[in-house]
Amino acid sequence: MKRIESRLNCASAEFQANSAHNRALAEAFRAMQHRARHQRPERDMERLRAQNKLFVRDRLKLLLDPGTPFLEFSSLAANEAYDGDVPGAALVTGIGIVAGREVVVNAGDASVKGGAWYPLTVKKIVRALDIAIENRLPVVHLCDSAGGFLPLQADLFADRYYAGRIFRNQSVLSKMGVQQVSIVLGHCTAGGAYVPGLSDYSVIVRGTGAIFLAGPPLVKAATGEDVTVDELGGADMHTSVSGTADYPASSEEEAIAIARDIVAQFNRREKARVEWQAPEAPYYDPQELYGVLPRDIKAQFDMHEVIARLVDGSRFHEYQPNYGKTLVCGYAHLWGYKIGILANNGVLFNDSSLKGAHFIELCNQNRTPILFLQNITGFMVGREYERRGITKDGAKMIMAVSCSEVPKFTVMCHGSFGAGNYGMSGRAFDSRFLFSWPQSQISVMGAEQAANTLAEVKIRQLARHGKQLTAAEIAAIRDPVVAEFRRKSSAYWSTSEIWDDGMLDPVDTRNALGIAISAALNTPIAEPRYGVFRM
Amino acid sequence: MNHAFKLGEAEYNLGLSRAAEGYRLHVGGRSLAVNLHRNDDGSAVLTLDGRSEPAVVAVRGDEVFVHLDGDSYALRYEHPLQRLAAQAHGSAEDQVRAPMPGSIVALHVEAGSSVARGDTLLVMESMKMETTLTAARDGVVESVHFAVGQSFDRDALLLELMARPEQGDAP
Repeated sequence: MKRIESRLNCASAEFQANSAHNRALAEAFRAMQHRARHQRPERDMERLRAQNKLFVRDRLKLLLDPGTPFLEFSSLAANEAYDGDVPGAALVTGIGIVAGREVVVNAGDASVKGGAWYPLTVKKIVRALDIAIENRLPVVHLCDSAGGFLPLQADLFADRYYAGRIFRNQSVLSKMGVQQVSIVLGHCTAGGAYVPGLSDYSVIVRGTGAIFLAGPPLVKAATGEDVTVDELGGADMHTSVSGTADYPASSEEEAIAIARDIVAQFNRREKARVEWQAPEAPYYDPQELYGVLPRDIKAQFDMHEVIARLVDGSRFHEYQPNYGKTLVCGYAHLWGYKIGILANNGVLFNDSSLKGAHFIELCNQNRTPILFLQNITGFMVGREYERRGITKDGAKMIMAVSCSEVPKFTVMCHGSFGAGNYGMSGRAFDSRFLFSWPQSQISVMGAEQAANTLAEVKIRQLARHGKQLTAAEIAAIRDPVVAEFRRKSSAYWSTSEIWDDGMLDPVDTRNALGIAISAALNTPIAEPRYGVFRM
Repeated sequence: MNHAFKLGEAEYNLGLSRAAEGYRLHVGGRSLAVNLHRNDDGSAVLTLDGRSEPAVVAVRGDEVFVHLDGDSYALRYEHPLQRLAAQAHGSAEDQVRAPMPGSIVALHVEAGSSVARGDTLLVMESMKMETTLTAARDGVVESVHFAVGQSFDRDALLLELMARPEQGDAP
């Protein structure tokens, strides 16, 4: 496998300007992430201390093996929702190492609204458990939640992917033989009570932990019974009488130590076999990614330069280097794992779509996980391309992506517009993990095109009634559309809505993908099978 | 979660993780490269943060004996579960409850008796079998709720312990 030869001039004014621009974006992202992770009003932290509870980040430090990486999911979830009052959607999820085993962590953050479940909290938990199911990862739940956020209950309770899905996913995990342990560090009330209830193992802290379907006030209202928290669902009652929880603990630290000892009992399964060799750092410095990415979303750049800064030794075996050149396909190793890469170098034409579909089939045939690097404005449009069947060729690529059995990983590197998002394994196509870079954008079409389309429709409507719009009136239609599109196509919006598994500083992408690939190989890779390709 | 070692009376919390070459030692917020290379003659070379020293290391159970730089050290590893359980000294264990229905055959203590961990508190009989209940920790008997010959149901509170006043570990 030969090294990619970078054509980049790192001394050029363009590179320097890109670099400064993208570094600033990465710093802004890190500052925002720091706030979401660590900054809380003093009174909330004071309340935790008064309740004798640790902050969720300190709990994680105790839970995870020292010196091991933690791949946090969606650290900026809900940051654009609920007036920004619910950082991280009031919970921390991610993949970490506990007692030498890869596990999914689902940890409620009681420093945010008492850990109440908002609609996006539920979405984030369900996604973490989907990740556990897809990658057969054991789960450690750190339960500390006030329960569903009642004013928004209609948006989190009853629908297919709402709160019920948490318990359905827990049950499915158990059926698959993937183990779960709950540590009850606060009250688990109503639905929340089923999290430890459906775990294979549960540890509960004496004094602060409690599990019940209804707390003392609700019991009093319902039946008139006067009962204390401890009598109703405390550690000693549940571990010695009801059997709802398994291990009592006298402190959070002890509870976490017990949970670590439980995880240490989980059998380590053999992972799916894929090609692997000793890892090698990229030959080109990943820091140069900042200079590769353009400042303008509409500017093109060469994805080979990105690949060179992600993969082992910057080595890349390019498949069909002369055919369908707007889609770069080929093999590389990342943290030692052999992967197939599909990366956009322009719009998808007929040939590039066919090349993509073919390459996905190759990767499935030889059991090679696939990485999609998106910078796509869509499939080519126009009479000539429709006559050549751009739709059916795009459909072939979408078919191959949808039915792919090898694990897929997607990084939103820059633009992701139109059906190109689909062909390149967007969120709906079940990539095992999907990450976004801070400057990336996603929307059905560009903001300008959307605004123009809407203005055009309006103008024609009015023209039928013999009216004509002034330039100011057209601007009044266009401008709000552009503003709304800009906001909702930004990576911050996507990550807030959990359309991805988190935003990444580009230089962290290699490590994040390494953890993601390692996790994904816990699931055996099935034989490839597809539907009907329209020929 | 870190590992705890006792050196004399002092407790040290350390973490160890794998690195591309050797290990990394995590101590007090710092992370240092560490490796122990064993020679054929049983001696070893300890490399810590780039400095290498000959060392002799021997392990017996939870005890580690280290001879390094002319000094000898005896460390004691404490399993987190043991260490944390000892810290807590479970208040639930202070309530001695009947494991099954039965009656008291013999009482070895009375309210105010001082007991050590493992001391016999009472002997009960159930289903033609005698069971001895012992103190889960050092303390003082606070109260005894049943007399010899009296019968009780499962989970009945038989006896209560409390901490010795001078121990002062009650909250």
